[in-house]
Amino acid sequence: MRSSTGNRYSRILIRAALGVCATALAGGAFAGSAFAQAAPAEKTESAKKAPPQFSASAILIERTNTPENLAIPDDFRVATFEYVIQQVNGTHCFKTVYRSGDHRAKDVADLVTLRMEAQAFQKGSEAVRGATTVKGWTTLKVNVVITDASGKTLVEKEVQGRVRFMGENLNATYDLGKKVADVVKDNFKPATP
Amino acid sequence: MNNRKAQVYARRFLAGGEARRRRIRPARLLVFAAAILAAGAVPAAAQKVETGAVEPTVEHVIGMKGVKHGYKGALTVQGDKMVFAWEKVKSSVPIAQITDIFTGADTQQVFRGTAGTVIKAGVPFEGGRVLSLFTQATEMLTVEWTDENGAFHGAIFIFSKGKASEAKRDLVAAGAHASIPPAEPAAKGKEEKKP
Repeated sequence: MRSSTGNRYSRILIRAALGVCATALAGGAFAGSAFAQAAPAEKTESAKKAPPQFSASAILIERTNTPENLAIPDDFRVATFEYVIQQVNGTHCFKTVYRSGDHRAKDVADLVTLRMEAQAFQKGSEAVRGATTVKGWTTLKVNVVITDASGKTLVEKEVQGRVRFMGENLNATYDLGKKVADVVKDNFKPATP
Repeated sequence: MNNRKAQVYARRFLAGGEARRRRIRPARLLVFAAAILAAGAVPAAAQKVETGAVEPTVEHVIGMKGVKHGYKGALTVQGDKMVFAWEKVKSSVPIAQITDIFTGADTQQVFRGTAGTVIKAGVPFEGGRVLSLFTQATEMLTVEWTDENGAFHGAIFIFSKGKASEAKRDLVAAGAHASIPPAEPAAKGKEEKKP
């Protein structure tokens, strides 16, 4: 008698757990997890994206502006700049990518300027990430603003770079660089050869 | 008859499979042990590659032209240039163009990279997570400079603990500019503070 009641309860529990999992998957409860990377909802969203509307022959990438109250290590600041340069170069949206301070950029008529302002930074731990998976993430959030030669804002977006599972803390800057390049790619037409 | 033959073959196959499984177990252990030994031997082997005064103890992260991420080499001062080189790869920056140098402390996993990941994955019962806790202290060296067009550049290197400060001292002694003066050798381990 007891065993049959126990079986019934376990069956009910299993069904309830399956129901919760199905609902969570359908509702996108794993939006922040690795499962979200292949979610069909995201695919349809990207399919609906408007085609890039801007074009320019050159872009000037300024150094990351860091507020005084935000302590970002120098290696993160420099790595962010370098990875953004590297990744924006890879988009092939511009004939020339100028670095901050390059005086040759002044002569370009249709120059656009990319500025980044750091919003938040959390340095995690590679060891804690490896041991727990759910803790020790490194995140770096920046506000990306792209302006034209007259100073008019063309694009403004918050971008977050992070490393959640494997890899060094500095990989967050690589992730950020890729995401900034995606913002550029979404808004600028490929450069004509 | 054919049915019987099939049954016999099936039994033999299953028995063979069982035996194979039994034989694989110690083999797997051997592979695991070999992988651990190999991971320990990799840095030692890398240091013996080239004869000369310097060893490839510095890991390049980003910034030097023509050098890939993760490439190990030696960072030296040669005349009026800061040179990162090893084997066929060589990249340099004129010391006069260096505008700032920073050092910072960090840690790195002992079992890292592809080999480290394979080893961690090979440990049964999620035991690889424990290996993630084995870390070694490292030091980052960040060098900033402007080129002949005034464009800003930055390069990042990973040193073993204490070595980045030495490199910074060498660069400053060679004429590089640093907003924070390098720490004295006696004050090893103390972190730099911004003025």
